[in-house]
Amino acid sequence: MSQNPVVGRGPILICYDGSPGSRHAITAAGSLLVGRDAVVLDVGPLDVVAETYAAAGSGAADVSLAVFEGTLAQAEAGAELARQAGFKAEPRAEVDAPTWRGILKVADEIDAAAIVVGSHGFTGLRELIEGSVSHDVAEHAGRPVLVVPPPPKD
Amino acid sequence: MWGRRARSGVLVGITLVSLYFLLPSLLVVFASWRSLSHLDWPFAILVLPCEAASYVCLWELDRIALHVRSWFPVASAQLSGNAVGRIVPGGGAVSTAFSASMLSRAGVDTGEAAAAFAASTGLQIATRLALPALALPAILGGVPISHSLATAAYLGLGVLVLLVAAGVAAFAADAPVDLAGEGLQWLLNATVRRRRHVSGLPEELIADRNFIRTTVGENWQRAVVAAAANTGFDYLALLCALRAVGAKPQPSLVLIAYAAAGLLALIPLTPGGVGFVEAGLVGTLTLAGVSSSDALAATLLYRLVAYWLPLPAGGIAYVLFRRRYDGMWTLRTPSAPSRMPPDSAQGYVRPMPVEPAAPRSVGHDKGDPMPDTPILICYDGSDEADRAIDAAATLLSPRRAIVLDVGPPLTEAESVAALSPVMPGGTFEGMNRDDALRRARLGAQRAKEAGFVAEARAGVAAPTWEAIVDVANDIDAAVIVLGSRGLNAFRELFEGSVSHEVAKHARRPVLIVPPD
Repeated sequence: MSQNPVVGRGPILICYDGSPGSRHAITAAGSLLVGRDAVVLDVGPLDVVAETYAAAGSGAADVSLAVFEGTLAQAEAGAELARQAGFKAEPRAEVDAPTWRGILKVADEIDAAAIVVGSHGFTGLRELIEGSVSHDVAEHAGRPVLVVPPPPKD
Repeated sequence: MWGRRARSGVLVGITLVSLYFLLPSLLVVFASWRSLSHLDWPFAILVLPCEAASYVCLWELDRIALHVRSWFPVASAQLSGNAVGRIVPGGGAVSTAFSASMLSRAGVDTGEAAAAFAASTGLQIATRLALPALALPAILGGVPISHSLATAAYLGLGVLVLLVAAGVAAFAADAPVDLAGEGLQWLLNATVRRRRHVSGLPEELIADRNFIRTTVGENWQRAVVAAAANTGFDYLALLCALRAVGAKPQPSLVLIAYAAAGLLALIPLTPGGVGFVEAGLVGTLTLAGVSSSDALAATLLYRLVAYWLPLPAGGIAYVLFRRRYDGMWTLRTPSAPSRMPPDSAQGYVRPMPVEPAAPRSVGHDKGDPMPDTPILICYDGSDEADRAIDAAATLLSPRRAIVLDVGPPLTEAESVAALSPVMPGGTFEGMNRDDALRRARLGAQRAKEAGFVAEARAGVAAPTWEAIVDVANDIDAAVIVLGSRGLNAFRELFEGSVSHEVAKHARRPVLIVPPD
């Protein structure tokens, strides 16, 4: 089935940032895209990276290594979650991943069959101010994108 | 698609050419803004309540014709439709269509709403044209009147006689309405809508007419008073504007000038007659004995309040309306006469027949139990929608799929085609629903071939994304599948990107499939 030209031949690309929303996205995607290969990409927020900078002390090489290791650890946590959800998952770290361009670069590289991204579910003014990575990814991906909103609060 | 664009292009072209010729007079009016600094402020401020009262009377008239008790939906639909009609070329027809489709969200039948707005517009125009008759005693009493202004008054009275005759004929006898329906039906079948034959239009028109006959007929005194007060307050606003700039012309002559300018506002070449009215009002006021600089300043002041101020008001009204009716079904007062069966009078997304589910597809793996939550596939017959189905089939395991097509209550071609404001909205809505179901069946067929157990479903709604989210909630869809550019440009303009809106509001996973 995966030779079908409408989707890429590669694995599913899952964007993960450690938030409850992105954990929910993995679970939801697992029930829909049963038993597929997946690459879990850490798209964690910048403050996590800033903490890593602080922990790494001085030295540019140390910093970039620490950043990379930090994001890889985060990605591995996501990959573990994805395995529980039924994916055959691999972690992946990219330093410029938090932007939609970074996400799409990885998607093109692995020829992802689809991209899974959680949305923070903001509407109105907050959406306008904070922007929507999920919307940017969906708009520019050129491949299927599964947008998963946060779980209902009730 | 191309025909649609060509028609829109021709309309915009006519507007631009008209505006080009009218631009000098518009600019002269706008250039007189400096003279507004020496206003007689008490009178200038009076323009505002006069114009507001005029609008309130119009809403009262609409309420009578629609037989709706609450003010809010009627006022906000009228203001928003009015604003749209003043932005988009096509004027009255587009604004009626817009108001009617808004009211359909508040539970009013689209055809009845369109007929009601048409009747209230007709009354409004008739009272405006009847004004010169009021000036007659003054003129007979010896007020000197310029020859051109007298001609304008006669012309206005002539149009009034025609309008009244047409109105009486349409209200009293079935034959003219039947004939108009036949004509419109022939025109539509010959031009706009070749895909599907229109039928039953005359009957639909007569039913809508009967609705207006009951609503306005029950309260015709109130309706006439409301229409007269609407025109009267609008005229008072113009008088106040004239006094504010220091001109003191004969009110009876201003009356004729006002009625003549009202005739010009009916020319549908520019949105809301902008330019035509400015040029006409300045000209007729000058004929009525106002100095040209005063006429320019008064026209500017009057049009600022009567034309430009309601534009942002319409925007605000639309936002308020949306806030109030998001997720609400009905509004209609229980006593309203309705010729629709109760279930179909509910408006908004109406429950659609569901195709019986096909037997399980052959390619399905028996060892793996099929998930019982269905998926929702949005389909519009485009190549992209076909791709979305194929992508969904590749990515998602075989399962139950509802294939949904959402048609618009009125397409823009229909609102423009029915240039007469007497627009059989209900008929179009029915046709669009049938079209939508037909397309949904094609989509379901494709989904079955791709390995889903598919059912077709159709809806008629605006905006599209709300109908999609509603149906998804209804069937508790595991995921909503849709193409990223499934909507034609005109609807995207009003409704925004459907995929974006669905993803934002759905509260469930959305699979967005891009074009090739």
